[in-house]
Amino acid sequence: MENLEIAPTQRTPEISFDCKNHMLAIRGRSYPSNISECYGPVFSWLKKYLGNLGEEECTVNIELIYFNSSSSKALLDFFLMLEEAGKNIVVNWIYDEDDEDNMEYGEEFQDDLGDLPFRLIEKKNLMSSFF
Amino acid sequence: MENIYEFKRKMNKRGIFWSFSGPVSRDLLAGTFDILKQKMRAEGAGGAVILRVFSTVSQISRNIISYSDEKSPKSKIPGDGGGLSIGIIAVGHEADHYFVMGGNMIKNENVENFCCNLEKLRKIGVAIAKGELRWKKIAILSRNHNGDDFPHGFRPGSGCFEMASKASEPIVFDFEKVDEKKSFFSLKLVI
Repeated sequence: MENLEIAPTQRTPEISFDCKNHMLAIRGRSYPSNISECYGPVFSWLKKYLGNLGEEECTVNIELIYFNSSSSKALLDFFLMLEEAGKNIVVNWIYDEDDEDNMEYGEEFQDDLGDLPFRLIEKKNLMSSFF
Repeated sequence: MENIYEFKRKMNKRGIFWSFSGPVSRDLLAGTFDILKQKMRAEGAGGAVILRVFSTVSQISRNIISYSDEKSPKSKIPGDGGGLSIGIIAVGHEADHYFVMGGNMIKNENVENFCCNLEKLRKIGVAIAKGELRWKKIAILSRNHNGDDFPHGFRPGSGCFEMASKASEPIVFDFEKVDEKKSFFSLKLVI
């Protein structure tokens, strides 16, 4: 299986899924004009990856500074896939210390995904790295 | 030429620093993000405020695309699509707050329904601001959500709900009858 690397655009996030080191990352902005086009390859790759994943720990880093409501639906589906796989997966929801909205989103995902380890990680100047 | 200057002066007087009027598509947003970011950062706005303003502009654009009853003519060239929704969006600053306004034509027969839903959305926004209601973002997205968290049996789209919850004041809206078929719908959100 090959890694999935998708470069960011103005409207879509960077996707960096490393299946050898079991490190999955989504970073940047997400307000694509076509949500299926953006996240379709992500879900296809993930389905295959989860089918092959054994006892190894997989870390998922979500570092989004802005995402629209369609993207939040895609993220919810993404997390539900991770949860339903029942594997050794940890999600890190990384947000800027000044971004209360993003923190609240993380808290609600955390509440909703009881069976998936979901950590909230505050980071300084995250937004400025994208601004 | 005088008219366009007068138009600009009126916008400046109202604190508007960015605006768009015409056919709206999702492509409008990509450049807008960077323009607003550059302008607002220079004024000392924090990243969270910039994101709130941008997400409101984004949602108003989506509403225009979905609900405007004024369309640009369809292209005669096959594959060009066409019939883009026409509307207006403006961003400004007044009394230490940024604001976002939007507007578009709607059918007169839809005014009552729009008004009713917006009034409910306004009340929900007030309840969130007072801490009486928590914005259950994920509940809205969940397939199993039964709507119990929302008063009045109102279940707005998550984008509309997000927009109202990010406003620092109750949303303001208005309908102006244009003719026997259409009214102009206006919306203002203070961030």
